[in-house]
Amino acid sequence: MVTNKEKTAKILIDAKKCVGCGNCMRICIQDVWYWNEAEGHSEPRHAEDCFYCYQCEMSCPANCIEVVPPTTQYYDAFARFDNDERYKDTYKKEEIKV
Amino acid sequence: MSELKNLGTVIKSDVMILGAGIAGLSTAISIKENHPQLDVLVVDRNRAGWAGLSGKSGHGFFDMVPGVNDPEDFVKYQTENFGEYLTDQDFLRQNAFAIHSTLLKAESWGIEFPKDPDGIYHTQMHPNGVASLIAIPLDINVTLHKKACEVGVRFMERVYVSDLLKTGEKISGALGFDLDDLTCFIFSAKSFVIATHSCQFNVQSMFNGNGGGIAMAYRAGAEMRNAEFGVANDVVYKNDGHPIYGSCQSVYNKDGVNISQIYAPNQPEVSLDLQLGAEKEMEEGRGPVYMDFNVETHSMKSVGFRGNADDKPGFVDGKRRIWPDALVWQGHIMEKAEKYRVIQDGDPTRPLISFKMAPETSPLRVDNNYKTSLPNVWAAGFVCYNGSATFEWIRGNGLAMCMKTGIRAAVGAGNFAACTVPAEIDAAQVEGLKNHFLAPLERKDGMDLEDMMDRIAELVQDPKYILHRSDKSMAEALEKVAAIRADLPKLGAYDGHTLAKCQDWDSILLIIEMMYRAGMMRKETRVRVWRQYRDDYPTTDNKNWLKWIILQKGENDEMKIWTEDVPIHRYKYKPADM
Repeated sequence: MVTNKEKTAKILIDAKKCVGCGNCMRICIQDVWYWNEAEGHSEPRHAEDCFYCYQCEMSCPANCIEVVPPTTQYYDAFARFDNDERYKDTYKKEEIKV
Repeated sequence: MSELKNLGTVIKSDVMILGAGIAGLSTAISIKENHPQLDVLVVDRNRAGWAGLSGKSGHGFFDMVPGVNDPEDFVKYQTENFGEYLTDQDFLRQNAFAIHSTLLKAESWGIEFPKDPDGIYHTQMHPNGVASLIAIPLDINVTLHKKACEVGVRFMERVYVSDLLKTGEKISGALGFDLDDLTCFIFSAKSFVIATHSCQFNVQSMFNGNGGGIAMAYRAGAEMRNAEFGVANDVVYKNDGHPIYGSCQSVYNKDGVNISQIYAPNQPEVSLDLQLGAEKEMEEGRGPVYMDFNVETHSMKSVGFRGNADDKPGFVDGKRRIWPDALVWQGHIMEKAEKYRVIQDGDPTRPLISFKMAPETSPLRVDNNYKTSLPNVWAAGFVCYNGSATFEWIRGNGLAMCMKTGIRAAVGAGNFAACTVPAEIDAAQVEGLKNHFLAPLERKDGMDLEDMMDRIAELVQDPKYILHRSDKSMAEALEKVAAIRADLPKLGAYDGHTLAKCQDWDSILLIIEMMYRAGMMRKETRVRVWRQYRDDYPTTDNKNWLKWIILQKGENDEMKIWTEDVPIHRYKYKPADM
């Protein structure tokens, strides 16, 4: 089983480019984005709840957000075939590094 | 005992609407149109105009085009194929005949449906032939929010409503908290509309209904109906689990045989039948199964794939695609998937696939005026989809249905508020609920929220519970629910966001319990979408199970459960074997 933490997206922000428009905070229905008052830019404070709709990324006028989707899923309904002799070579995965 | 004013800021209105998605906004505008003098307040944990699922979706606007679609054909099709005779046929018919006027109402509110220069809507016939989809703009909620502000609707955003407050049999108010500074709000109103979406258990991409509205209505004594129907599924890329929309007719086994046509012919959505068939293929050595993008199907076109080889991007069969904005978004998702997915060897147009369970239930019971069983509470949108027993969803019906139900709920909620006074709020009740909601803040090092989510996810994502249901598996699931719920008082939180999640997990567990209790009672397999499939009772039993299962909180907090016969004798469409 994949855990919630493993299926969390990585959200990268180039804070220097943030223009403070607030689009990401306004558009996110998972309450991921908050304003970092001290540093003057938005930040993905609750990235664990991102479900990768990419609305923040697509609505950012400064193009400073990159949402990296997870490469795994909670419950793969066919997971039980992963180690099946007939399929295990077909379903072999490589790790990717971001 | 504390006075009310010392417990939080009291906010008064005539009608309080929970949820600022398309259903809540439509309700609010309708009430102001019917009763301009009423003070209407909409509260949402997100921001109006972007809140809810409707701000993201783009599968068109369901319509019965006059002269093209006959609403009665739709009633027959949905009753026989989706609700499988558990449908409240009178209610479904009422809705089917009201749908075109909903579209006209939406236009009167400023929503600009794309049209050709000659004024014709961009339209696509649904594969079942009994309904049409009209192209919509993706900013539909922004337009509705603007309209609501123009007619004087008030909004409170980023406020999490945790509970309804009860005085006698009536709902006197609601308790809410500012997600940023945890200011406590005590809402007083004469009537209430719950428009908070269904429960999707926090395990799906894009669909995030947490069941809060359902759970708070249950705790206040509202009846629930059809809670057992909660399973849909997606075809997903085997290697990363991302859904492949439009794939239901295009699944193949290793021998190149289209197994969609074997196990789920003519089904316009991904179904449990297809998943069970694919499992069988795998077990019998005819896997792996894959999706073939090279074969055009209606369902692929309907979510925006290319038409024929001569089509330019943005066009299907020489016509403009009906959801150009949605396609921009879909294209972005595909780009991201290509960029970050581990691409498997072989032909990328024939990716290996798996399935992912997409659980959802919406059991808040309503009558055909969208009134719940509570005396002054109505519901709108997907929160009461199962509870309405209309079983009317087909692709594209989400937005139209939410708007239509909002318009309908607005009549009762507005009329009630126009001729009554609010009930007194009980301060002791507020104090108890407030303390309960805020308690996790005292346990900053408490149990991890994400760890608990993993335990919850097993119950709604692992096919051995959610799909392959049996008395044994559901009893085991209920034992796990009880064990997880016993740990709820150990959860810790450190801000508004995490506090809200503690309450969400509580709501979700309650609704999982409803789903499996009702599921155990129903000794059969029934309902096409959000189906209950039982390994131990794999067939539909029209002789014994043309019944609705009802749930309600008992006096000692136990979950009462009983059945009501579907009044099939007075309905037009009846199963052949009853």
